Amino acid sequence: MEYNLDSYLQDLQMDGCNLGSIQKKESDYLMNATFKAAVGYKRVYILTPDNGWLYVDARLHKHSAMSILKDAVDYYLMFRPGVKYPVGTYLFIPEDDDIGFSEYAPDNPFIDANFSIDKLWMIVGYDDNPQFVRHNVLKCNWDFKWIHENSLFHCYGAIRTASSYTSGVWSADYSLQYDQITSAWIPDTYLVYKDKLDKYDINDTRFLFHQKRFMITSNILDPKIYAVTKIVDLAPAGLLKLTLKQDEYNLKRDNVEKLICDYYNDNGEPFVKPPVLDEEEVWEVIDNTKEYSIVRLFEVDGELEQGEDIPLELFTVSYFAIDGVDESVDFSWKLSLVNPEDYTVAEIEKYIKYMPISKIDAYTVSIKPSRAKSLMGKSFILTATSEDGVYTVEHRIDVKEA
Amino acid sequence: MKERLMHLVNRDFENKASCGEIVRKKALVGKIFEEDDDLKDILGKREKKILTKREKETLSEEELAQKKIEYEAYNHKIDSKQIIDYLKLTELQSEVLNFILFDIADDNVSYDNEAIKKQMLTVICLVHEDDMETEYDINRADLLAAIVEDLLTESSVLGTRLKKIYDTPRIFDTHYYGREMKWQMLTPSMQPGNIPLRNRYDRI
Repeated sequence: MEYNLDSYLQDLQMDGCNLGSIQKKESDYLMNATFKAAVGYKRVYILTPDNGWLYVDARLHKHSAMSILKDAVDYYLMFRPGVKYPVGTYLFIPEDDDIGFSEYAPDNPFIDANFSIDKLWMIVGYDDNPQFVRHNVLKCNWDFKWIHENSLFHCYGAIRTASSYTSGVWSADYSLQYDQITSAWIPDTYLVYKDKLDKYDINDTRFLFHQKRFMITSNILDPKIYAVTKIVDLAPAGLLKLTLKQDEYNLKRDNVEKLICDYYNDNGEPFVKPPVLDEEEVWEVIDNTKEYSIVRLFEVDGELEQGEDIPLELFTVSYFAIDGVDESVDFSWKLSLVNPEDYTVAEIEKYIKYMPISKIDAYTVSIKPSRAKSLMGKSFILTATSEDGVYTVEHRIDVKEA
Repeated sequence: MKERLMHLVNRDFENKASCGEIVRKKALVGKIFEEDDDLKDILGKREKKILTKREKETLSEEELAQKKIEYEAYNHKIDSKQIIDYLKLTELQSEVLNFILFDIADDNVSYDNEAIKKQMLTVICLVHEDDMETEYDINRADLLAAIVEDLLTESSVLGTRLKKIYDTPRIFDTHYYGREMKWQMLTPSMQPGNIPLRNRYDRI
């Protein structure tokens, strides 16, 4: 083959169009060759937007020193030359050599038996260096949960401090109220992962609106509630920066065991409905030799004990519990009218509202019929369904006649 | 000034009736409110959590102790006073709760007759903004106000007729809405047991 001027120019351009790009390529080559020879080298498990969970090489560097005088610090993470991931990407960074999952490359590490939020990070920024781009990564430290339209949403993110130059309480004319703010950063999951959210088992944070309330607390005796008052998105794109104002705990609506606010509606029914399994699925799972039922309880000397099931009286608390289920499964409860075809939709809603259910524990509820004379003589079906949809128990409740 | 008859001092703080007119009347009003089940229901009184027999049989001692602590903390929260005989919530409001606040003020002695004065009973129905709805399709502030009005208006339970002269909705502080109501009563401007228009300890 003839080697001419064109061939020579092509050869020169293979390494770059100019001296600068030649130097860049050569240093990229050196970086690649020596990438693992650094103290900060880590094999991270990253959720890439296009290809799902992958192990990739990275180098972790300190950005600024950790200090008790400031917020949690971010770290620099550098991938191999030419490799870049968007802000809002989740990744697991091992402390030593191994992340510690129960299998090497789980399809969904969020449900892995050895999942720990301590190893979950998110990319919160990167510089635009012409070479050796460094990403800023921040450790996640909370699982934010909220209810939207009968569904439970959650998102891993980081609680950050917010400057709040107050004492924590505000003395108004008539009352003493909370006056405290905090901050949180969570990924803008739809912007990062688009229509692959379901595939990666991640919830869409577009459904996080103003005034949604989180229970951010380690103390179920005195839970701390925060409501979203400010959402800043696109700063940078891929990250949502929330300002959270401390709010009051709502005894009626918030579920302190699950750490989820607004879990119940005003009737005491959970917003999150249990799954409806078909008959075959149910019969495969339950043990048909066990009998389970709803029993009536009465308060005797400060304890709840089983008693005779008598019609409910208006404005008097009555207790019901599930008997016969041994597993520690949570139940959701609801009421429906016997013979609903005899009533209009508005009447059904009204009577159900007049019978609010309060949850005592996983298996016990109380019902206190409102002082509404129209309730007298009505009959209801109390249904308890386990969280996984396996157990469903029904019990008839009559309200005493006039 | 001649020496006063301080040896006649014989106060009994256990007997509210002998602690002055305002104390006596406020105790009466408080009793009226406390004895009304409808009022307590609409205020949103929660039921206490009780350990079930099942819990006692299935939980370990440690779990039972932990459960007791949780229930006691919850029961303590819901036990907070919601009918208060002064016009301020002095404790930090860490839960969504509703209140009835009331107090009595002496307005003025009558211009024409020094033996008569005007007294004002103020009742505020304070409802948290997150708890405004009731199952009766009536907002909670209005319903509480209706019950209070039903109990007090035109009543002579405090000695003379209670006449409602003021009933207005208001926004209170950041998280509360409610109604402020006032009743007026014309009442003698002297303490019971006193000689009219004279202090009991003054020597004549």
